[in-house]
Amino acid sequence: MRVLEAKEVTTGYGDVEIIKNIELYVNDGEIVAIFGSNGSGKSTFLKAVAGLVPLWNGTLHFGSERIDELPAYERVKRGVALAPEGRHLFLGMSVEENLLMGAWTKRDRVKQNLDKVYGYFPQLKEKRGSLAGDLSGGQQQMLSIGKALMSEPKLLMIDELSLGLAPAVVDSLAQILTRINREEGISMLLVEQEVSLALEISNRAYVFDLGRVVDSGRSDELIKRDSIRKTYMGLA
Amino acid sequence: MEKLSKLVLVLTLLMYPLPLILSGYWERVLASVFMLTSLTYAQNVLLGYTGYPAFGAIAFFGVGGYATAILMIKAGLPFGVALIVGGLVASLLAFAIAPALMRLKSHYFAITTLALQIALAELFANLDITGGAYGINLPIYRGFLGTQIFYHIFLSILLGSFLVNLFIEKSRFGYALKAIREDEIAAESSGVNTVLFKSVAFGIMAFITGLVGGTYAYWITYIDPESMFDPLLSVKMFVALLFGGVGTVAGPFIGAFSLELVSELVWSKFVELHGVVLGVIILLVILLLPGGVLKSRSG
Repeated sequence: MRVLEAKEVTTGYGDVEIIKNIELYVNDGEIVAIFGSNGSGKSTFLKAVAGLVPLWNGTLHFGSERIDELPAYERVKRGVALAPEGRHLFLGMSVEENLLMGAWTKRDRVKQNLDKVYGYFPQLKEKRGSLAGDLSGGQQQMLSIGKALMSEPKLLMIDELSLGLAPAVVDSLAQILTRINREEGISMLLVEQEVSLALEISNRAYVFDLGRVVDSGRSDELIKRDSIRKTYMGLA
Repeated sequence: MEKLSKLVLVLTLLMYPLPLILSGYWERVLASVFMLTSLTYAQNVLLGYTGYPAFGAIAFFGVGGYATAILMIKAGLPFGVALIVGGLVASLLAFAIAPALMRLKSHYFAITTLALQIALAELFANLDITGGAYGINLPIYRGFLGTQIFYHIFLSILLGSFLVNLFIEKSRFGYALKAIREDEIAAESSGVNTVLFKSVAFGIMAFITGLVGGTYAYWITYIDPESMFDPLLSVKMFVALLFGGVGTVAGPFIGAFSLELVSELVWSKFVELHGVVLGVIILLVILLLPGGVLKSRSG
């Protein structure tokens, strides 16, 4: 069963085409990574799935339902969650207010979901009354993920988990993500510059270049491939 | 904050019986203070809570004023009905153009609303129904309440707009607006229908502003494009809001009252210094109180 299936997805900004004919799918319970150089259209693809950028061509299916015509808030309701690049938080609101905003579309089990998020990220519980703007980078990333979890997603998309964070912080976040994937059964689609990390925690991966998918496969196979190691991991 | 809001509410209610002891002069001064305070509260809904500076919000003051006047004169409606419909006309106009207009942010949005204000002033100066550049004369109110009626209408609009701000501060609706102010992409990816919420905020701003415009039109009994689309009123409203504290419930009250009372005193003593004082206040606010008297989070 596929959570997400993208067919011939093409879009861009203004007149400039950024991604063309992207074919990509995420199976139920899978972690899928997208990597590639700057400007290859990874973030644009996530935004297109979230509904922040309209498609020029192609289709998006979420489960059995076609979602590419739906506005962003309708997609959130159905279980598409994006932790956007640069962490886009409500910096003037408290940690808990941010999490409650994350539960905007799912108001039935707010208390349980809040406890769940605090369970995965105890640091957020300690800081629940602090302003989001006063958190460290790592805590802000936790909050961004926690906020996305509050919407009870079936697919969690994270744009640049490692952006601007210390390696140790990234490692612990990655571990928590794999735990969430295992325990909650939430499928994940990660855009990541840190290719070795992306390949370690994902089941499959797609390589984007200049707005197209140029390679894809099982992560444990890609990580062994010489061309990938040379081009994206700086290894010979 | 809680205490200040209560204080504002109590002061507002205490002002209802004041005309019994006030001179006609102070009744008029306070009526114009209430007018500015209501406009500032309206702007606070948009700039303060939603983060969109509608520098040309006076466009809706003009639309509300003209709509009220035309409905009274041409359609023969009683003032109360004409006023409400006038406010709704301003509000519907705002709601209709919001989805397009509010794709712009900050300076660009501010400038575009100002362009709207100027364009409407030109349009109204050239239409037959608005009396062109000659404007419209309204009947003088001769009811048993006398001029006090305008004092009380403005005070009631002030009370209503204060309550709207208080509601926004506390409610789920207000959280959506604040989320849009803080980070629109984050709001959208949280599942907030951002276009709808910011359009509603724009509509509320325009409704209050239109009501004030309509009351003003009946109060001064003569309107023309110059007086109904006066850029100075936009400036005053913004200075009052910045001075009092953007995005706070008590800020607009504090800002508008201090600014309008000071400006009235200066105006009566030194007519030519009036503009200078406004300028000096703007500079002092920027230098000393970037968050307003009530330091706001969004400041």
